[in-house]
Amino acid sequence: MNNFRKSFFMLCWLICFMPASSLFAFAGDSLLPKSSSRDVKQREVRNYIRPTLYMNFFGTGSRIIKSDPSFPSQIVTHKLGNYKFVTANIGMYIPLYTNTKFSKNDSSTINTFHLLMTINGLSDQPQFAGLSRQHKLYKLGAGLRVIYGFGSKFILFVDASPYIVGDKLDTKQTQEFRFASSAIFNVMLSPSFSIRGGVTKTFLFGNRNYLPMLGFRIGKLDSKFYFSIQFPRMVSFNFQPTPKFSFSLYSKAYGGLYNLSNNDSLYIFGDSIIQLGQSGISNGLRLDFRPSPNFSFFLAGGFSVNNHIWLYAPSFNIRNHSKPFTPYYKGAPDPAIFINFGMTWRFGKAKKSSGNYLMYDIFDLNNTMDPGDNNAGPGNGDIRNNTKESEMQKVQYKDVSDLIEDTDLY
Amino acid sequence: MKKIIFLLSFVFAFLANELSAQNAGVSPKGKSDSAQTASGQERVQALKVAFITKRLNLTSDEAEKFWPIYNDYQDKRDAVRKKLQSDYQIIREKSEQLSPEEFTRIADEEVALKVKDAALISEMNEQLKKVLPPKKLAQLYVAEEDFKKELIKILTEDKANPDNKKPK
Repeated sequence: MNNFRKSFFMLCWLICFMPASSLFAFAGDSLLPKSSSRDVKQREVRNYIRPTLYMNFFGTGSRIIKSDPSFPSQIVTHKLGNYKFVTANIGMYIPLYTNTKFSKNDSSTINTFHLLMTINGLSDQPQFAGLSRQHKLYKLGAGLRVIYGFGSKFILFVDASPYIVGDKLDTKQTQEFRFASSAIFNVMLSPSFSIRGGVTKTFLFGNRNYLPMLGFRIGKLDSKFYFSIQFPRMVSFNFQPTPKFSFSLYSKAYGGLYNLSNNDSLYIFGDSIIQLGQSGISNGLRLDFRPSPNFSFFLAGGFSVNNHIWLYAPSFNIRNHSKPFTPYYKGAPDPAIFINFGMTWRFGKAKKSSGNYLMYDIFDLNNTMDPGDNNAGPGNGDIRNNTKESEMQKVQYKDVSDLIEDTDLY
Repeated sequence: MKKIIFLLSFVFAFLANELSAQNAGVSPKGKSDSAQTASGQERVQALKVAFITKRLNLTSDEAEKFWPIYNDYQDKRDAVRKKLQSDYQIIREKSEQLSPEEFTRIADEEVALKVKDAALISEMNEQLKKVLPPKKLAQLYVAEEDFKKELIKILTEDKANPDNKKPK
């Protein structure tokens, strides 16, 4: 069993059992006093953001790779053969500390500070039909993020996502530390319109990029329709007909930068490790189903376009005096059909945020900027869309028992 | 690895309901109602937001400031009421085992919690004075009462005519 598998098991174990035992109540737990003792402390709800776990699976069909007609490129293209891409991702964020304070200058404005831990694991499998052994790439990380909502319009978001990447074919040599980060400032000009600006260090586009992060949203996050552009991550048009179902037409980036064992001699001048950069844009339709506040899942499909593969070799760049991550090979896989599905679990209770659109923007920002720089987040299942008054008929006594007093009955 | 991920997802689908049993209740059939209740409470909260927004006719600026204050008040009030419910539960279930001193302590605590409840609404009222015009502030309390009455009406009708209940 190699190191990757051990790390993956360790991560799963941490995700499954550590938070479960320290953060959540088990079935036998109750807020009511236990028989043995009267002094049972109430569990105080402190956080607006609930601990959230999500999983994502993405796969494309097989297609040919096109490259420039130069002889060296054609050799690599021929060696690689057809290309198919499969990735699985598991991630989590856990609120570590939340502070809610009324502003000193204006005691009618609440400022909220959120500190979250993020955990992420990813298994990436670029499958090249021409290679005898397929590379299994991985990425494991744990990071921190800070979100500060202040006034009634502003949010500051800072995310630090350190992680390790490697190739299971040669874990020892290929494992490397990387660091992705983002700093974003969000202004909610009205509940129906917000803008974002910032910077992000990302490997999503198959290289080490420092990019501006610019975005805006039109439409309320809890309304039937809203449109959002979050460059460079995604563009989406969302339709939420009921609180349980939502549809989204979207276009979003995917990809990464990995170390690759050069056991296939993809670079013939002796480097034992090369780098693979890959990226694409997935254009598709996504259906989200949210059967309960604790669980949601989605299914999406569409076309993966604008696909690129780059191969980098350190000795190539040294020899040519070029910048790091200058590719010696560029390939363009044809568009392909993709399928994407995932699940999200949210645990415990959260402080009330109904009607608080700045908090909705905090949720949206937190979900859009997924842990781990994979652009595969949990979705906005923590924002419930508007409820029709006709739903009033579904209310049951146990839902409202603590709201009603005897004097209300006469 | 795929098998592991699938297995984990199913395990978590099961655990999601169990782990979030912080507000667990037990139905007459003995099953945990936690997930259903959480969903129900969320629905009531969403309905309340719709009801109050419509009644008060809040502008965007007013809503931006109103809801954080009101939600904060509700969270604090919920905590107080849960503590009160917990005290009531003790009296119901353990009255044979409690000493007179403990009864006194619980009674004092109940009164203190009710005073705190009143202090919370007073605090919220002061904060909302800076956010809402007096007319809307006064209408808020009427809207809260009317919302509660609307709920009671529905629940009473359901109980009186169980056949009217829509199938789920």
